[in-house]
Amino acid sequence: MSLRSQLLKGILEGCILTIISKEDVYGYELSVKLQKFGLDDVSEGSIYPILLRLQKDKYIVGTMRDSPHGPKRKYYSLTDEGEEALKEFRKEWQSIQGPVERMIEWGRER
Amino acid sequence: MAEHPRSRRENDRMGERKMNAKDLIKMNNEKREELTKENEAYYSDILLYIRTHLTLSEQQSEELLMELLDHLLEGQKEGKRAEDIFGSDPKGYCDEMIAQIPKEDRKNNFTFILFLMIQFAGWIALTRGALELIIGFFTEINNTVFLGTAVVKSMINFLVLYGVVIGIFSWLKNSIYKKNSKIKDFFVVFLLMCTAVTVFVLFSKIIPNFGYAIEVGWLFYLISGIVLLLLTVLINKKARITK
Repeated sequence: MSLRSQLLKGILEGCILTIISKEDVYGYELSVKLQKFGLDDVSEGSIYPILLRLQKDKYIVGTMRDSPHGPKRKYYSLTDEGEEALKEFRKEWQSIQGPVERMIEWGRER
Repeated sequence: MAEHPRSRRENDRMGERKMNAKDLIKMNNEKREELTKENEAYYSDILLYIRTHLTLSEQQSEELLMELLDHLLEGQKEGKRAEDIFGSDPKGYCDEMIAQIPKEDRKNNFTFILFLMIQFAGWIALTRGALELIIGFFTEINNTVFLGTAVVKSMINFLVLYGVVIGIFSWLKNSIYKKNSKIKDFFVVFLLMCTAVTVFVLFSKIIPNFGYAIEVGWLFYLISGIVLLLLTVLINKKARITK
């Protein structure tokens, strides 16, 4: 996997953890939320490999539950480990975000 | 799959009875009918590809397949195609997911194989008993059975059957996302199986008679067949193998 796509995956992972930390969601709901925030370049299906990995790492758990209108869905909720991972992601993101933005600004000044 | 009895009861109370793999498969079959022809073709390949990976946890695989199907159905309502949602490289996409799906519990696998062996032996005994009963009306049957030989023969029998099943599955698995050589592959698998069966037949001819010699009639076969099949029903109830 290229560094670029690995980076994007890591960020997407953090976004998914953030959404799940707010409320339990199922797959389709999650992709709608990501799009609402403007991440519509991310192909919808790419959340499922990530959800599987997050489950494997025990950051989230999925349980089949009745949805408000309609059939049973697999809802994801954050575990304590997931909470920790999310904190870690926020820290990492903040340490990158500022410098990268400053650098881009600096690059624009000619 | 064995479940903890208490958690199951709790789930029932909360109206959250766990859907097991069998329920999910049934629901999947019903929902799949709502797909358009194009989406159905794309989705069915994913389904077959993931299901033919036999080492994966059945429960986890079926839950994932249901999620993907639900997502596709929602997308379809908005006029999206499966390719828009899951991308243009379904095999790569599936491989990525398969790498993350937990493996089936080893203990489950062992119980399952044991279960199959007993069931297989049960049907063989029952059939043989019935056949000998009928043929016995017309001719004299040699009822002598050498225990050692019988055991070895049944083991080989089972292994060959097992191999044939595994062979068919791996052919299926590999042919789903191949466009050209499906037929060629099929013949290779077919030839391999013919060889396996031939080897088996030859083998059983050269195995010498050994072990205790006992006289066994049709009644013995019928009774032991029935006992073995009852045993599988019992095991199934306890371990919930076919759920």
